[in-house]
Amino acid sequence: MKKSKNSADSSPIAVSPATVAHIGQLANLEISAAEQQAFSQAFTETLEEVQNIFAVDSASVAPTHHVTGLVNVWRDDSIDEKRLFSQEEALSQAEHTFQGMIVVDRVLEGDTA
Amino acid sequence: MKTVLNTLTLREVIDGVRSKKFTSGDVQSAVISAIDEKNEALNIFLDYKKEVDDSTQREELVGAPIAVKDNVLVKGLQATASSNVLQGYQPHYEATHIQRVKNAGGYIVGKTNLDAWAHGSSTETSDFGPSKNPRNPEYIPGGSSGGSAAAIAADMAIAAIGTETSGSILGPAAWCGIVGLKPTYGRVSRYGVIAMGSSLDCPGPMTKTVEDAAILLEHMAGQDPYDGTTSSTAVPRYTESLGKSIKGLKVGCIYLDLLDDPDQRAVYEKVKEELQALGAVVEDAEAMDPTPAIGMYAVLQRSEVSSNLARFDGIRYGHGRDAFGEEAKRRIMLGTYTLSKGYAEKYYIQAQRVRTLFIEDFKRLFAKYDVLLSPTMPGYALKLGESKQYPFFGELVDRMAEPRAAAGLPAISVPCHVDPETNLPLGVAFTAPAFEEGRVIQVADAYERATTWNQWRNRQQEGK
Repeated sequence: MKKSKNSADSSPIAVSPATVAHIGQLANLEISAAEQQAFSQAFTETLEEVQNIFAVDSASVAPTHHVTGLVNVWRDDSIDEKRLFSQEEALSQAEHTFQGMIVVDRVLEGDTA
Repeated sequence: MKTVLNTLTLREVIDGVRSKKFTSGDVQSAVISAIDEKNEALNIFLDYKKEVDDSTQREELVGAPIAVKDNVLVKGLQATASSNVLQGYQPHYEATHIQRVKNAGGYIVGKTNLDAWAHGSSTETSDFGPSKNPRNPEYIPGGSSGGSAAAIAADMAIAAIGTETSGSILGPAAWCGIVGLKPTYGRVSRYGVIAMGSSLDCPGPMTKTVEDAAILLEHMAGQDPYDGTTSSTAVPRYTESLGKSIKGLKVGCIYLDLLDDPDQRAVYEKVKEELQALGAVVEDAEAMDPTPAIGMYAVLQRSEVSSNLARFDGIRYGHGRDAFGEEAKRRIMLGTYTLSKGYAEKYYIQAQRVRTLFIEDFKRLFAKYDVLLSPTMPGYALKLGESKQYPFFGELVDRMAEPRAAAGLPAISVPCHVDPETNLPLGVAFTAPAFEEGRVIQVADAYERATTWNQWRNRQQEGK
């Protein structure tokens, strides 16, 4: 691979099983020990493949976020009645409901009251 | 010759219903029977209607049965994106482009298989099993819109809708011997499409002929207040680009040197000759090496996937995140990594810089050429199971599509060859500048009419 002409550090990165576990937590995914090992290897390989983005001279160009040139597209700050769900519709696909509401997992720990 | 109604093109169905040769209900029955008969062996439809509805036969699309990729929301049919996470999900709203097609009289007959969350180029990552290629069931149809492509190839729908992030309409269209059109980014609304890469995703028509693609696109395209990235550029009558001469049209040929197989290179040399015979000015052009597009696309797409798939938490709808398959997990996690503090600058921003380079390269090419010709795929469809040995399979087969996808350009794939031994087809892709869908329709239509590779056109010509 030819040497990078970019300012960012382009050295390849090995993703450790511990990092995989951490990413799993950030992504809200349960990752088994076996998956940590497998993904560690797979991600390191993928990031090696990705190294080709550092092999081009891109120092002089700006990043593109959007391709057709639209800027600041706003809608009116008003309620669109056509897009409202009834309570029944909003609840109909939830796995756990209780008295017209959606049941969610507890997020605060230690409070058993 | 008695034509079976499910084998008709969209144009023929429209003409036949209007002239009262048959009703839309007759066509719908024929299509539903074809699905009943073939679906078990080919695994193409995940959900489909059993009852006919000919209430729209006075409308422009006359109740023609249209198959829709299962990552697009249609009221009354489940939407799973081929993932267990959404198994059984019944949407309460509908994609804008589906509404438009329905308002024009289209009849959505069913939902087709894809790679789970559209992550793949084979349909093999579907949680509901791979679809088989109707041209040869030992082979994959390609993906991710493999079900929609296969539905057309097997005459299990009159027309179909797919979505492309990179290569997911054109790729399976080429491998199934049908026509696939990926519009400009923002030409067709993404509202109601289960998002994959939001800066890249484009819904588009997958059809039997170029003419059918033009008809269907007219009814899908246009600005949508529910998708802020749709363009206010007026939607032209794409059907006016049909049957036009391509005399003097400048065609630049790219990526032909990436084909390893001399027989396949010869296929595209023949396409060049055929276009020249039609009066086009055909030249070899030099495009930027697509190799960096593999990494660019991998980073952009996985980053956007990690953000888009964060909403599937199993609380308001669907099932928990433990239901994600392995490929989705991989992509979500790698994208989480490339968007995390410190790495976003290194990977995501750098990928967006490479994106700019490809956009500029296309600008340079379009200063000289009206359209670009390239192989749609770097070879024939693979055998079922074969892609698993290539961990980067999707990125590698799609490397001819990634630069175009990143630049948001419109393109079409039409059949240009069939291997006599395997019956597997190849496709040729035409790419045009943004919002010039009419130009790819014009050149693809001229090519299709002048050659014998499109089975439905052939049947029409033989019948004359």
